[in-house]
Amino acid sequence: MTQERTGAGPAPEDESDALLDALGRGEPPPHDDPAARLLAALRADACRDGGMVEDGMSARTWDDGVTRTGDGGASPVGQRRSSVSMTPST
Amino acid sequence: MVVRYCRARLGRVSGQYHIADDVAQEVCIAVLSALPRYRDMGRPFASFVFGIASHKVADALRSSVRSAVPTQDLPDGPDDGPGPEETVVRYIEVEHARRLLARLPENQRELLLLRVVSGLSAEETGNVLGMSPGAVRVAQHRALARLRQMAELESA
Repeated sequence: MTQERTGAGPAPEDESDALLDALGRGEPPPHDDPAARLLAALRADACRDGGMVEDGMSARTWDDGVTRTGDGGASPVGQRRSSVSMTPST
Repeated sequence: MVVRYCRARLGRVSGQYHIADDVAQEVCIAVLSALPRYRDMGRPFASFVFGIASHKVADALRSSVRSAVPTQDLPDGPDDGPGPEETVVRYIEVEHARRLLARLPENQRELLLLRVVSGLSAEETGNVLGMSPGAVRVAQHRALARLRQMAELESA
């Protein structure tokens, strides 16, 4: 069962392929894609604890996409971070 | 890539990746041992490596014994890692990912792990799984759509 594509945009399969390529390079996931966020979290977790950062992109994901996003905006990471900031100091 | 693959497939035991890392080490040893028999058949070397890794992980899963994990002496010094709250948040998210992935057919789960966690290309993934690049593209799109659907259902 295939759907005819009338638009000029990329095919859904191409979009998925590009998304998985990006996630595989360690790029941050789209904010509005829960599946991509989960896969990115799994990848980031597998990179932890053993210095498994393989390139600059992975490092950027580690810093910006998972634990240390600084914008505090719409990013789900920012939401997680805000909960961390509630840690009492005493 | 091999370490990440083993970690994603085997997960943590007692909060650590000891077993997965041990399996990754076994994979590397097995790859080195098999190198003299390796013949370049035009396929990416990664498919050779991950073919071995897949078997090693399957062996580990079959014989998995959740026994006590020996550890070194208690740490005596500051922990530079994330705090407990952040650790828990990460843990929950990763376990959520594992739980949803476990509900996918094995081939789709393996495909997503190879593509995202190991960072293999569609072609390399196809070589590991014995699929054409076109079949990989279709299967990964379906897997992603299914994972997205499950994630959205759970968050609704």
